[in-house]
Amino acid sequence: MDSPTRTWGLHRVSVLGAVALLVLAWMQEVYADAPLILAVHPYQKYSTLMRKYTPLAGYLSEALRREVVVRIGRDYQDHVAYIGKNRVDIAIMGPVSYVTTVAQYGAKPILARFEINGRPLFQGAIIVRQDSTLGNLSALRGKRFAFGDRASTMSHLVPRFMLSEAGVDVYDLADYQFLGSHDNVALAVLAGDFDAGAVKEEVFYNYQERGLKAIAFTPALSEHLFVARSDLDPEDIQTLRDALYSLGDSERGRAIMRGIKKTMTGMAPAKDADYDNLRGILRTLDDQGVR
Amino acid sequence: MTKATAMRVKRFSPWAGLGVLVVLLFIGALGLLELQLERMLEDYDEHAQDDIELIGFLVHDALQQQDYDRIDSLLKEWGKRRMHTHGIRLTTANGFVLGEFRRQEPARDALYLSKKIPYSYKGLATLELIKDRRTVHAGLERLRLELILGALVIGLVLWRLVTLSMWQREKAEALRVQTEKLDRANARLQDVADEIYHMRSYLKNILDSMPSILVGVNDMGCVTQWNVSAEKATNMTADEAMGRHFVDLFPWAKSLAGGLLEAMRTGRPVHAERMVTREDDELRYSDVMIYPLVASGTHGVVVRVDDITERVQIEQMMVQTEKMMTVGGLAAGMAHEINNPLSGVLQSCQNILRRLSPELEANQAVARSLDLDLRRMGRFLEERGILGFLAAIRDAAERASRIVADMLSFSRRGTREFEPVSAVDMLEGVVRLASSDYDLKKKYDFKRIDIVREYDQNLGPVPCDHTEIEQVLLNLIKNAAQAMFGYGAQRPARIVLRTAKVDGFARIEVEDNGPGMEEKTLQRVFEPFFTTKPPGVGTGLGLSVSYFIVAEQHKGTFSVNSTPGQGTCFVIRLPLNIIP
Repeated sequence: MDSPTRTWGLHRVSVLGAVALLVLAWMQEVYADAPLILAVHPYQKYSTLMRKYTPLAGYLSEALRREVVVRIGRDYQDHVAYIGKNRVDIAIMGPVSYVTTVAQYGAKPILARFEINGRPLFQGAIIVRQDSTLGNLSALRGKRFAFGDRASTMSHLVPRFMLSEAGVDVYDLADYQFLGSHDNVALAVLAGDFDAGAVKEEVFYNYQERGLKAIAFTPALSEHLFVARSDLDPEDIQTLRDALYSLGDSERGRAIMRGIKKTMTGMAPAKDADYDNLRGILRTLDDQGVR
Repeated sequence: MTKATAMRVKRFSPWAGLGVLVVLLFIGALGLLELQLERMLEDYDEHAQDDIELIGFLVHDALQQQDYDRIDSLLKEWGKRRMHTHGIRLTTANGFVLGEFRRQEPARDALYLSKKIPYSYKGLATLELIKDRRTVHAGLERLRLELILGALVIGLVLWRLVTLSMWQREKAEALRVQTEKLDRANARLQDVADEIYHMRSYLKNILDSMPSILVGVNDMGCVTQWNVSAEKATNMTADEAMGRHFVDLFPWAKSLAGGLLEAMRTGRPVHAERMVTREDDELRYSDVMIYPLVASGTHGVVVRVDDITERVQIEQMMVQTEKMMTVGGLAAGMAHEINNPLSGVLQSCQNILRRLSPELEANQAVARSLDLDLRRMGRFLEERGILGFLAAIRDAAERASRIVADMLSFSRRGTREFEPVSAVDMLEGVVRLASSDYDLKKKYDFKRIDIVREYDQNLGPVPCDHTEIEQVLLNLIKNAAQAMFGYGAQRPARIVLRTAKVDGFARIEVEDNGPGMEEKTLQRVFEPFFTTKPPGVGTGLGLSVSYFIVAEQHKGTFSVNSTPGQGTCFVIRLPLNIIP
């Protein structure tokens, strides 16, 4: 005769088995299709980026009822190529990358753009030491200038454009260096190794109290953005948009965003035209042979 | 300072010396530590210089690469990881602090170093390093602390040892005092034990000195005390007897078992008189008294057994003597009664003989008147032996008369007057009596015995109580006769009677050639109730009474010597000059 424990054990197993089957079925239904790839450009360490973006991927999977996986690109070129060639489903791009991709591969559906500190736009600053006598860009002629990364929008490309607009070509500078990072630029200027530098505004603000002032600000550019491959299901595109827009509505969403960027407050809609000003700058720089 | 204290100090001082030594060592160690500190600080400073060199190298490298960002994190990492780095700072030529690390807590002993870092053409940056030599101090402090602790521990240990040794000494002292006390107590106990032993011995002596058999019996009927008399009587030592049943050890006392119980139960003594035992074919009488022990806690009895055989025998003898005296009295009376008819017989005999004699005138006259020839009648009487018969009658009557006279004189209880009596007369009278002794159990024929007389003419009358001396002599002669009877010797039985006068003593000897006596018997011959005769023959009193008579009453001596197989000789010596 079976003991009560044994009967109950069997009962449990059978219930769990049924539940498991149901879940599997549901998962199958949900993840019946192949996962979507969320491509992130390698602007930080691989592990850091994975950590930052995996929660978002999960969030989007739930929204889509379809698995979303994070992939980190090898380099910027690859990143651009992949989304350009629709090899990935969703991609996070910097403004310049976006413009470049569109120019090269055609339009891509924009899902959303970052909202930083409530603004979907960002700026850069030309910085000098507090005690500097330099007051405007043209005064920078014959001075030493620090850029950040060569590919950087706000610590190279746009400031360079601004300099040229102000009539200061790099060759007019006493010296110019690419210091690699915004922080480096700020520090270099502060250290007195350079008379001026170009950093994104948040960096400027970070180091401002240590003795920096800005002599010029760049035009406001549209923030980083999420794009989808051009042939993604419109329904999915909408779903994704909605999901991204509603990130700021929940604590979970906000936490996900904070994980990506502390200052990210939400996702805002965007359109291609938002990037026209950048597009113009880049065209000019291309003409100058800078890029 | 009392002597005790002085002693303590003396005992203490080696330890104190050691303590002082330890303190000095400790002070010395501390001094050394101070020196060490100096040296260590110097060392430290050198290393600090190395540190700043290294930092400077790294900073220089970063500056070269224009990796300003890295510098701050570099300095911070360095500072974080180096506990003794209190602060690092890199200041560019224009006074801008490119990188800084600072510890919150204030430096204890700050060492300040600075170094100029050149980088390309841009001038010199200043690298400042503040190291906290706290670690050195900390290390030394720790060492000092350890030293103090160690010293403390050592001090404690020493102290412990000191107190321990003192404590041990005290303990030893206490132990010694205790031991002394114990020894004294022990000695007292020993004394008590000795006393007990002596008491016990004394008690035993008391018990053993008692001629009575004293046996302690417990309520189980087993022996708990056994004195020497009991040992002798039963041939069993106290060890053998202890614990055994009383009735087992005294078989004749089986009937006493009830008596034992009764005594114990009632608490009153039980007396068993005249218990008869038989030992070595000898009848012995015992008086048994059972005393219950009434002391607290003890149950049992003490059994006292006295051998009263002698007393009984004396009693019997006294009774016998009484009888004898009665008999004597009777005899005396009888003798008188017999004497009369006897004298009648004698008289008549005499008369007959006289009246038959032809010589007598009266007889002749009567014969003529009857026309009787006396001579012819005489011849008839002779031939028919009638005269002989008449003579025999006369002799017999005379003899009987003499016996009676002797007996009368013998049985007369003399007034104990000493009269000079002829020894020869006494001896002859005794011989006559002995030869006519009408012992009912006549076992011997006295007449067969050869009597030899060796009388000394020089011996005059002997002052004595002749009745008593005759009694003695009779006893001796009868003994001799009895001894020789049945001896079966080849030679004829012979008794030699001697008298002599020796040194103011009358010496009378009665010697026989009988079996003689062995030394063992000789020793006991004068013992009352000792006899070698078969039971019923003789009381064994004769010789002892004789001895008494001779020695005590006559102040003489009585001795015997004997050779087994040859004979015995009894010698009586009576003083001649005794004052009666």
